[in-house]
Amino acid sequence: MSRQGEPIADYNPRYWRTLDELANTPEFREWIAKEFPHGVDLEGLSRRRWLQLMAASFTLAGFAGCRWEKTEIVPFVHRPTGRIPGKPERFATAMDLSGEVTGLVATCVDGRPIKLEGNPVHPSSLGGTDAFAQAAVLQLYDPDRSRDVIARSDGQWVVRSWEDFTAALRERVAATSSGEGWVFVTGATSSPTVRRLRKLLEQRWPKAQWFTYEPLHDDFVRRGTREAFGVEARPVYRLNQAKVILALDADLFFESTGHVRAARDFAATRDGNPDRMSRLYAVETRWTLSGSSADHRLPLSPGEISAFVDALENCLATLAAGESLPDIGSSPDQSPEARYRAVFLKAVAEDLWQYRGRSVVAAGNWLGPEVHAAVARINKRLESLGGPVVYLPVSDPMTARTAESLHALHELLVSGSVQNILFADTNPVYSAPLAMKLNQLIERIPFSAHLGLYADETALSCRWHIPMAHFLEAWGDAETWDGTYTVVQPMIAPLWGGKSVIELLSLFLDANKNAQDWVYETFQARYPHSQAADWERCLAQGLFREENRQLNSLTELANTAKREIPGDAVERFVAGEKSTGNSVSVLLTADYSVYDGRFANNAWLQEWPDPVTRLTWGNAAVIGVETARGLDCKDGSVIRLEVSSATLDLPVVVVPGIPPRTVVVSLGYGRSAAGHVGGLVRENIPPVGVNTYALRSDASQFVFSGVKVTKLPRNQPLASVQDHHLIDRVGLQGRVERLGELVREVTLERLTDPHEPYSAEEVVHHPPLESLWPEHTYDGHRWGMAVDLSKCIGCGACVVACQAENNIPVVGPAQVMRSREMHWIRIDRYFTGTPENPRTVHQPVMCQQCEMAPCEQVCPVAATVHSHEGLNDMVYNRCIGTRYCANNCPYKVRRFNYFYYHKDLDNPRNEVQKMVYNPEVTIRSRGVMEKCTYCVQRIQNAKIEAKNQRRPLIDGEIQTACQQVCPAQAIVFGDLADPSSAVAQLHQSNRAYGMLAELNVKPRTKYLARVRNPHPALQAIEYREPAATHEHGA
Amino acid sequence: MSKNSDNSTEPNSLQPQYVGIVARFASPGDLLTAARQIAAAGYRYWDCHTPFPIHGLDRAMKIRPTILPWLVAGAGATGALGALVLQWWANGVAYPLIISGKPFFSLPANVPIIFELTVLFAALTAFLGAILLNGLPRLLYPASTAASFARVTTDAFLVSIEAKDPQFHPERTAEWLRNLGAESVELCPAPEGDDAIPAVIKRGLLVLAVLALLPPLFIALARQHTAETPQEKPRIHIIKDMDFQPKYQTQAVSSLFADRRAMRPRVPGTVPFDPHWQPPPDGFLTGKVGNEYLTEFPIPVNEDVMRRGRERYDIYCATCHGWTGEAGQYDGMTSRRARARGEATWVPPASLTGQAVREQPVGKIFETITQGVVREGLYSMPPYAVQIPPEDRWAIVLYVRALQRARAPYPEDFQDSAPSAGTATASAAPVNEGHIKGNLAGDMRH
Amino acid sequence: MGSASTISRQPEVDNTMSDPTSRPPLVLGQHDFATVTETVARIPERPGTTLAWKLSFAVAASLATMFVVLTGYLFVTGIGIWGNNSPVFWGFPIVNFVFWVGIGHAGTLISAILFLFRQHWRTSINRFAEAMTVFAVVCAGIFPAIHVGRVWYVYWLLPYPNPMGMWPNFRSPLLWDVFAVGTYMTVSVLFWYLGMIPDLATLRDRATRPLPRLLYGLFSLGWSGSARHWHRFEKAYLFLAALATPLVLSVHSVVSFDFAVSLIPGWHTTIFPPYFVAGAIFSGFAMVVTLMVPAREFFGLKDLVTLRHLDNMNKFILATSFMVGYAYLIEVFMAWYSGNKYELFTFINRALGPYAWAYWTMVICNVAIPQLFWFKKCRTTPWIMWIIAIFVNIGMWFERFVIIVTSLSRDFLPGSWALYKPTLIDFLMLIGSFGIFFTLFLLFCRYLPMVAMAEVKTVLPQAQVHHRHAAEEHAPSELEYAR
Repeated sequence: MSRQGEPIADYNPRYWRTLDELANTPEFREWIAKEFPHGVDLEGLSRRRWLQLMAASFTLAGFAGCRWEKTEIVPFVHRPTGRIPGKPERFATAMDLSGEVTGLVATCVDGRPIKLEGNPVHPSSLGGTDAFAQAAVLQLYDPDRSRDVIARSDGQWVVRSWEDFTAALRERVAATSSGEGWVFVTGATSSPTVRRLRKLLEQRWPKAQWFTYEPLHDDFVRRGTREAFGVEARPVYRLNQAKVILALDADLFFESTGHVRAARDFAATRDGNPDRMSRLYAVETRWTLSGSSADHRLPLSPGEISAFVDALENCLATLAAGESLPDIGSSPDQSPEARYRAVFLKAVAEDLWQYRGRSVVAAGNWLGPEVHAAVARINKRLESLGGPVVYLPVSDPMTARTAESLHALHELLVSGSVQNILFADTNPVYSAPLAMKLNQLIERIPFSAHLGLYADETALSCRWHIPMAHFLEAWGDAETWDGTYTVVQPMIAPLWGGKSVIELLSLFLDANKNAQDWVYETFQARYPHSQAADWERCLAQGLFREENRQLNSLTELANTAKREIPGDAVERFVAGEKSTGNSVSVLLTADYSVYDGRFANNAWLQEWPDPVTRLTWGNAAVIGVETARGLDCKDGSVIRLEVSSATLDLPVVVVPGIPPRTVVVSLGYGRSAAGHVGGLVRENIPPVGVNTYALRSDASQFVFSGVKVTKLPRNQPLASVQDHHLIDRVGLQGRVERLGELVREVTLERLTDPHEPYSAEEVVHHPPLESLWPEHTYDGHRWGMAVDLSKCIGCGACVVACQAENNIPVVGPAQVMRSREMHWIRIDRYFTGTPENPRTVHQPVMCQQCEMAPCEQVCPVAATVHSHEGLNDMVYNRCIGTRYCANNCPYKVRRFNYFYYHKDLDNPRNEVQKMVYNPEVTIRSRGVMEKCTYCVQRIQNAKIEAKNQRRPLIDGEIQTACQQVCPAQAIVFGDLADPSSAVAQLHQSNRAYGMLAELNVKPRTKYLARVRNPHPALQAIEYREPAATHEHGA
Repeated sequence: MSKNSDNSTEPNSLQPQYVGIVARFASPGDLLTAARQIAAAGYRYWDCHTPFPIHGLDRAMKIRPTILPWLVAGAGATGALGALVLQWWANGVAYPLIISGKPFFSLPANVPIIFELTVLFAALTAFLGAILLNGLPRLLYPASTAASFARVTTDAFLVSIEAKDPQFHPERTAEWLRNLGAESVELCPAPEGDDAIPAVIKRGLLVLAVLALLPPLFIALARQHTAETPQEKPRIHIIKDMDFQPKYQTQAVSSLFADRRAMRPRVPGTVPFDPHWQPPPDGFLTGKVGNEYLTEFPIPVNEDVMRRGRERYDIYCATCHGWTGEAGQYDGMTSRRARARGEATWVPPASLTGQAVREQPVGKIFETITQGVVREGLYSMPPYAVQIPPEDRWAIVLYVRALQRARAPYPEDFQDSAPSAGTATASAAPVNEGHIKGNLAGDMRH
Repeated sequence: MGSASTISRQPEVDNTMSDPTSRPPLVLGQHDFATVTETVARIPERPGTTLAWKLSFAVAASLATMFVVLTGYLFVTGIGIWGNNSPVFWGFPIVNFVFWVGIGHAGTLISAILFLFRQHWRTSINRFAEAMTVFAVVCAGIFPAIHVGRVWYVYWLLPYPNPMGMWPNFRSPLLWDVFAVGTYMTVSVLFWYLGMIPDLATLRDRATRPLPRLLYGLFSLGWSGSARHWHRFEKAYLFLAALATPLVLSVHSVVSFDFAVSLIPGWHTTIFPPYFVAGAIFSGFAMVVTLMVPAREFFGLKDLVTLRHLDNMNKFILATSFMVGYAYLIEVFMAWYSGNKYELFTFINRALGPYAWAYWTMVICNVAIPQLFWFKKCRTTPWIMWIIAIFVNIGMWFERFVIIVTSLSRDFLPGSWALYKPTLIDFLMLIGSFGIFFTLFLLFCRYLPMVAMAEVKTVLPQAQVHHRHAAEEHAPSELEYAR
C-alpha cells in the first residue's frame, strides 16, 4: 500500500500509466469507500500517493467528456467559529529573507493564503512590500516543492517518513555527548527562537560547529565597520531625515537593510516640498534603483569608486578645516569627462557638508572594507551618526550575512573530521566556488541531511532531504534591524508535512515541544512581564510594541580608524583610471528577480522584468554603449568572459550609463535543480540563465578585474519586455521628441518659482477639448487614480502584486520574445541625456480608464463598456477576441490571451497551484482580451462591506493591489466625486497631468510630474536638451 | 415538321390538340416589324422569344411596364427604416450601454448600416421580383414543343401564338405569319403530360427535404435536457471556455487533501489581524468570570445596541422563541409547526420572559446562546457561537432583558407611560436610563 | 467543334486604334449569333479537361486543402500560432482581408458602373470579372471570421434576439464591415447569377448529356427568352447595377473606416475612404488582367476579349495608380501640415523605419511600375501587361501591410513598441487563400459560360434592328438597356 521503501529513479514525482489502472487500485476504491477525519495524515499512505489518487478521482470526474461537469460541494460539517465561507480573513505574519524582515498581513480565503500585503502597523514596511514578498504565495503553492522525506541509499532516492528520519537522527545523536563531529549550516536569520535554540544546543554540544552562509554577504561592510568602530556593525539609513544622500553603488531600495521602509522614507522627501525635498547623488557601476531615482548619477568602474571616496574624504577634510575647495573643475585642458567628475565631486562634497547632520553616505555591500571604513568616517564627520545614519552592532552571528564561514566550512570538510552535517534553509553547493567541490565533500560524510523547500543542489548531495515548511506554514518569529519583535504566524497547515528550522533543531533538545511552544517561550523570555493578552495582541498586530526603546547606534569611531589618504586623491580621481586594453572588470550583483537564486523556480519573479534592463527569464552581461562599440556587440550577441577559475558565455544587453570596460552580471541563475520553472537538469529542463557563481573564488566574490572578454560569433535572443529590438535612429528620434510630454519632469527650482506658477498640464498645447455630443455624467462614485512619478522608484513590486491579485498568467520566455507578456501594469523605463551618462525615468502604465475610452466604441459585440462609476469594464464572457480594442488603445495596456496560458494546470501534478488563485477574479481563457480593472473586485467588496455596516465608503478604504504594495506610496486610488479624497486632491495638483490627454479620451488616471532636484553647477552641464543619440546610441 | 404540317390541314375539330403556333424570323428587325403587326392585329395570347433583348420589342408588343420599380423602391425604404429602428432600439432602448461616453443613440454611427440594408433589401427584391413576376421557374411554354424552340437561346427569333387566343386558327394564322415574313412556321402539339416534373427532380427534392429535417431534429435531441424532464447525463457542453475555473471556489472539492475540502481549517492558535486589538472585557466571550456568571453587561448599553439586539433576535431567535419570547401560543413558526405536526422529539422552547430565565444573570443567558442547551445528549437548542459574534450575542441578551421587562415591568414604569405601551416603551425606558440592571429579580426586591 | 489547341493559336489583332469616323468593332472575326454561342459554350461542353487545367486545379485545390487544415489547427490551438503580438494585434489575416476585398471591386465596377455608363466593351469581360469578385469576396470573408480569438462565438456579430438580451455595438466599424461585406457578397452573387441565367439556358438547350442538362436546366429556371421576361429581366439588371455601384464604393469606404475611425497615427485619416476605393479598383483591374490574359489564351476567347478590352483596363490601372500615388503624397503632406508629431513620426517611420522595405516595395509596385502603361506597347502586349499586373497585386498587398503593421508597431508610447514577425503559418494561410480563389476560379472556367453570350450578341452588328444601314445610325445600340 505505502510506497515507502520503493525506489524512485533520481527522485521524479511519478504518475500512473493510465487513469483506469490507478482508479482500479485497491487504495483508490478504499478511499472512495472510506471517510477520513480531516487533517489526519493518512496512515502509511505517502502524501504524494494521495496526490495521485485525488488527481485521478478529479480527472475521472472530469471524464464526463464534452458535457457539463457535475461539480460537488463539500461544506464544513462543523463550521469553524467566526469563519464565513468565502469571506477573506487577514492574519499578521512576516517574511524573513536572510535576516531582512518584512512585516506582512496575509489575506486568506477559506483558509488558503492567496495574497500578502505589508503590515501597515509594522515599522519595517508600513504597508508596503517588495516583489519577493508578493511572490511568496506562489512559492508556497509551487508544485516543485519537495513533498516527501527522501533518503539516498546506494545511489537511489527512496521515499521515507519523518519518523524514519527522526529515528536515524536519534541514533546519531545518541552517539555523541559533546557534539563532536557535528556541523550545522544555516542561512542568516533574524529569528530570536532559532538563535535561542542554537545557544541551547551550543551549551549542550560545545564541540558542535555552526556556520551561517549567505552568498550575497555583507562581510566587507562588517569588516569596514570593525575597522572604523572596532565592532562589526550594520548601517541603516533613515532617509526621511536626510537632505543630501550619496549612494556609492548602494541599492537603498533593494539590498540595504530596511529597504522597503527606506523607499517609503525617501519617497516622502520627493513630493516637491522644498523643505523636505532631498537630493540624491548616485555614484555607481551598475544600475541600481537608487541610481535610477537619483538627481545626479556618476557611472564609475568598480576601481574608481574607492578613488572617489578618497577624494571625497579629502574634500570634506578641507571643508571641515573651514577652507573652501580649490576650483578643480575649470581648467581648460581638462577633458569634458574630467571636468564633469571634478564638478560632480565638488558639488557632492559641498552639498554634504552644507547639510551635515542631515546628509547620508551609503556604500554597496560589494565595495571593499576600506571603502566602508571611509564611509563610516565620512558619516561621522558629517555628524549624521545616530541621525539619518545608524550603525547597529551585529550582536548575533546568525543575523550576519556572511560567506567567510564558507572558507572555514570547506577546510573543516576537507579535514574529514565531520561525521554529521545538517543544512537548514541554505544551498551552498549551488553558490559556493566550484573549486571547493562541496558536493563531493558532502557526499563523503556518513550522515548528512538537508532541510529545504526544494530538493536542490545541496539536497541532492546529502543522504537525507526533509521538506521544509514554508514560512506561511509554520510558527516562527523574527526581529527587524531596530529590534522590533515580530511573530510569524502560519496561515495553513504544512501542505507536504514540511518542518521548520525550529522544529528540526528542537529534535536535538526537546522533541515534545512544538514550534509554537518554542516561539511563545522565546516571547516570554524576552518580555518576562508580559501577560497572555500581550501575546494575543502581538499575534493580532504581528509585532510587539515596546515603548521608548532606544537604538544603540554606534556614534564614536575607534581610534584605530585613522587612515592616511594620499594628498593627490582628488587629482587622481579626476584624471580617471587608465584604459587597460581588452580586459574588463566584471561585477556580480544580486538579481532583482531571483535574489541569490532561491527564487529561481518562481515563475512570477522570472517573468518580472528587471527595473532597468527590462529583461525577463535569465541574466545577461550588461555593458555600456562604449564597451558595446568596442566589442562590436548589440543586444543578444554572446560574449565570453574568462577568469582564472572559469569561463562564461553570456548574451549581451547594452544599457547606457554602464561605465566603459565594465560588465555587470547578476547572480542566481543557471540553477540545475531548481524545478520545472528555473531549470531541472535531471528532467532535461535546461536552466534559466547562466550560473555566474562559477566566476567566484575564495579570493574574489563580487568584483573581478582584468577579465578577458571576447565576442562569440553567435546570438541569443533575449526575453525583454521593452525595446524588443535594437531601436533604430528613427525610433530614437521619435522617442526623444515625445518623451518630454509623456513623462513630464520639473526641477524643484522651476516648481517653486513664485513668479511663474508651474502647471504640468500646460506642457502640451492643444485646442480646447470639446465633445460633439453632451457628455455622460456620473452621479455616483467616480473612481480615479493618481501616480506620482516623483515618488516611483521603479522597483516593480506593483507588477507582481497585480499578477497575484488578478490571476494573471505567466507566458514564458518564448511568448515574451513575441512580446505577448500579460502584465496588466507595466513600468516603462526611458533614458534621457547622453548615452554615457543618462538619466532614467520609470513610468507605471496601467489601464487609464478613459471616460471616452477609444477601446469601447470599436468593439463590435460591446464586450468592453463603461460602468456607471466610470470604470472601463472588460466583459470576458462577451469577448470574442477581435483585438480591435487593443489596437485602438493609445496606451497599449490591453493584453490578449493568444493561447490558453493555464494548460499546465491540466497536469495533476500542478493541482496545488490552483490554491494560489484569487477566487474573486475570473481566470481568462484563450481568445479573450483582458486588462487592468482598478481591482474592481476590491471595490465591490469594500462597497458591500460598507453597505452591511450602513456607512458610506471611507476614502482610502479601497486600495488597488498596486497601490497597497507600493513601498513608495506613489499610487493613490479613490473617488474623484469626493473633492476631499486624496486622489481628488492630487488631481488638482499643479504637477498633475493626463498622459495623451490631448486625444480627449479623458483618462481617469493622472500622473504627477517628476520633480528633480539638481545641483545648479551640475544642472548647467547635464540638463542639456537630450541628444537624439542617447540610449543604444549611434 | 412534316407531321405538323399534315395536322395543320386537319379541320378545326382537331384544333385543341395544338397548344400554339411558332413562327421563326430571320433577324431581330423582321421580328420587330412582325411583332408590331401582330400586336396591331389584336392578338392577346402571344409572345416573342429571342436569344437576347431586342431594343424596342417591348414597345412594339405593347407590353405594360412592370411594377418592379415600385417593389424595389418599397423594399429599399423598408431596409432603411428597418436598419434605423433596429439600431435605435437595440443600442438606445433595449440594452443601453455607456460606450466611449457617447450618446446611446447617435445617427451618424448608424448611417453605414442603414445604407447597406437599403441596398440589400432592394437588391434581393429586384432579383426575386424579376424571377417571380416572370413566373419562373417554369418548365413548359406553348412553344416548347416546336423544333426551332431549341435554338431560341442561340440565334432563333420566334413568335409564338397560343391556341387559346380567339383569333387563333391553324391554317389562317400560319398563313398570315408566313406573309409577315416568317422563315418557317410550325404548329405545336400539346406536350405529353403537361407540367410533368422529371422524376429525377422530384427525388432530388425529396432527399433535400429529408436532409433539411435532420438539423432541427438533432437540435431538438440536444436541447431535450432543458426540458422539465430530469436527465441522467448533463447537457452537452463542448467548448468549456471559462465555465470551469481552475481555481478553488468556496466549498469546492480539492484532490489535495484527505477531507477533499479546498477550504482549510484555521491553524490553531493564530489570531486574525487587528491593528487596534484590545483584550476583551472579562467574561465577554464566556459570560463568566471564573465560575461566576456576569450580572452586568460587559458592553456599553445604548439604543444602538438595543436595536441591533432586536434585529439579531428577530433573525436568529424569533423563529422558535417567537417575537415576544413567551412560550406557548406566541412561539415562533418552527415551534408552532412542530407542535402542529405533533413531532415527538420536539422540545418546545423555554419561555424567555418566564420567571426562570428572568432570574438568570445575563452571563448565564449569554452562555446559553453560546453553548446551546443539551437534553439527554441531544441539542434541544443548538449553540450559536459559530453564527453570532459575541458582541451580537450580548446585544441579543440585552433585547431579551427588554422583552422580560416588558412582561414584568418595574413599578416606576407605570408612572408616566400607559401599560398599553407594551414593549416599545418598556425597551425604550431603560435605554433612556442608559443602563440596565443585570439582575431584574435583584431590583424587584426594593 | 475545334480543340482548344487550334483556337489558342489565333493571332492577336490590334483593334485599339481609334478612328473617329467609325466605331471600331467590339468583337473580331466574322462572328454571328451562332458562332458567339459556339465559341463560349464549347468550353464547358468539352468532354474531358485539358492537362493544363488538371495540373493547375490540382495545385490550387491542394493549397485550398492546406488552408482548411491550417484553419482547423488554428481553432484547436489559438491564434497565437500567428505572428500577432502586442501592439500589433492585427497582422496578416486583416491584411489579407483588405487585400481580397479590394480585388473584388473591379468585378462590380466593370459590370455595374461601366454598364451604367454604357461602356459596351464591358460585355465580353463582365461575367469574368463578376466571377472574380464573388471568389475574392469569399476569400475576404474567411479571414475576419477566423481571426477572432473565440471563433465559435463569431455569430455574436449578428443582431439576433438572444437570451442574454445582448445586441452588437452598432458604433463599431467592424460591425459595419459585417453588414457591408455581407451585403456586397449577396449582391455580387445575385448580379452574377441573374446575368448568367440566359446563358445557362443556352447551355441547357445545347446540352446533350442528361446530367449537365438537368443541372443547367435547374439553374436556368426554365428561361425561354420570352420578350415579356426580357422586359423585367432588363429592369432587374438595371436596378442591380444601379444598386451595386454605390455599394461597391461604400464597401471599401467602410473597410477603410476600420482604420479611419480609430485614433492610431497613420490610421486616423479622412482621406482613407476614397484612397481605399481607388486602391481597390486599382488592384481589382490588375487581378482581372492577371487572370484574363492567360484565360483568353487558353480558352480561345481572343475574338471576344480583344486587345481593346485589355487596353482599356490598362488605362484604368494607369489612372487609378495615379490616384493611389496621390493619396500617398497627400498622406505625408497632411502629416506634416497637421503639425501632429505622432502623425508625422508615423510617416517618417514608414519611409525610414524598420519597415521601410515594405513601404518602398509598395511605392515602386503601385506608382512607379504602372507608369509603363504610358507606352502603348505595354498596354497591348499581353505578357508585359501581365507582369505589370502581378507587380501591382504585390504592391497592393504591401500597401495594406504597411498601413496596418507600421502604424501599430509604433504608436504613441515608445514603451509599448514592438516589431511584428509573421510566422510560417501566416505565409501558408496567405498562399492557401490564393488556393481557394483559384480553385473556385478554375471550376468557373470549366463549367460556366465565361463570357456573357446574350450580352455580347447585343453588340454584334447583326443585333442592330436595322443593321443593313447601320452606317446612318450613330451609336445604334446606345439606348439598349435604357428602359
